[in-house]
Amino acid sequence: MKDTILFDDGYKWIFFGRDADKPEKIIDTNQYLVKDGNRCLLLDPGGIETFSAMLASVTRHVRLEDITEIFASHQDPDIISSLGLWDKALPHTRLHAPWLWEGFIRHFGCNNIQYVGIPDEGSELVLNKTKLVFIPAHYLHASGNYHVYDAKAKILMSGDVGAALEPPESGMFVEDFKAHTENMTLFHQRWMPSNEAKNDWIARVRKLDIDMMAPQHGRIFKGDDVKRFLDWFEALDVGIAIKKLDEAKAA
Amino acid sequence: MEKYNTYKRPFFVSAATVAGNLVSVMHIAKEISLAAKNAKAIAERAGEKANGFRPITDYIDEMGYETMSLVNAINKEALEVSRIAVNELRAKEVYQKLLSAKEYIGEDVPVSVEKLIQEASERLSEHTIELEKDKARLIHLLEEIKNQMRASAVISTCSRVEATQAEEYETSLQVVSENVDAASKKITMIVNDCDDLLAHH
Repeated sequence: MKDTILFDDGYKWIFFGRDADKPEKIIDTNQYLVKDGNRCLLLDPGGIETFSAMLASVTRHVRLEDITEIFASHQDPDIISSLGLWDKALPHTRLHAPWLWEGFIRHFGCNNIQYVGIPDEGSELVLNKTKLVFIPAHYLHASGNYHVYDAKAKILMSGDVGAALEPPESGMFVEDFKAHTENMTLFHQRWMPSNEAKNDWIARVRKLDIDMMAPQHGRIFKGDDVKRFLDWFEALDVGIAIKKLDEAKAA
Repeated sequence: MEKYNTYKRPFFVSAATVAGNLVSVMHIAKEISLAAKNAKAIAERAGEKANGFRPITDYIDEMGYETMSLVNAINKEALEVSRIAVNELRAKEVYQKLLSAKEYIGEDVPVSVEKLIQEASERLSEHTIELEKDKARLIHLLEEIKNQMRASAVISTCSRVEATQAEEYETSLQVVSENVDAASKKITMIVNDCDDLLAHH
């Protein structure tokens, strides 16, 4: 599994992903770590199948006892099905995840880790020097869903928003935005259910100062590509499965 | 934090930590190779005065590369051991859950359930055997690195002696010998920590 430092100024944002050794049929995922001394946050730590590679990668950067917080943007298996194993590896941590999904996420195994439900309106988490905001992203795509914003690093960890389906050997950052939209279109049209939720999120995110938008799958957006993404997403019609069914019925 | 300090690490965590710790060994091994290249350059400049030192630089260089390749192999093995340990843990959980299900059923446990329990028990045994084999292989590889570091300690002693013959180049070559010695000690310390991690299971 590859790792790359995205931000390093008093604390670090570290990317983990592009796991060439993962089982072939599972989707490639991006994991992130905010390393802030003895209080570190692991974001969307991933599925059970990539757990060992992820654990080994993380130990290259931090002592396990310093991982005090875990964040799960929503309940999907590629996000947090490894919870039962983290629960044994990091029994002292807290899991920040949507309050709505607590009863569901606990099915993955959560006997030692403390579950901290994020309220609908979002919340904040302060590590040592780092202040992070859990931003609501409900219905993008899960009914209880959050992203993580760091105003100092100007990084938005955007969960499934901005995700692209690409092979693990693909690059780290978006280089050709127009070409990249081909890898994103179906994902966003099919997984994102609501234009209303999408536009509400875009309006809120446009007010943030963002240098890097880091999704849970695919490449990271930098600089002007963040704005390009927001414009592209705004123009995209999502929730297409129902419309397709309607079209099929009409035909 | 007290919770973390008092709990017994699962084996898969220790194995993954070994893989993580070895990254610093890799950096140190690279430093050894760099030291060897510097030593070669100094020995070239020193000409005949460094005749005894020159062959040692080849050895140091070779040792740096061998350490790096060994660390790569150990890293892969440690990751594999961690993966197998996770599989063993999952197999153990399946087996225990099936036993609980049998308890729920009470009397007249269906043959199909007994068969499932039997299969789960066999799978668990297979994982345990595989884990023990890989664990032994990992410990063996760690022992190999330690052997290499013991040899390195001898070489750095020899190189210190040879450096004394290099007249005005002595100080520079002594620095190289000390660097190699310090690097070997650091690697041995890290590998010992890895051994300790594995020994506690």
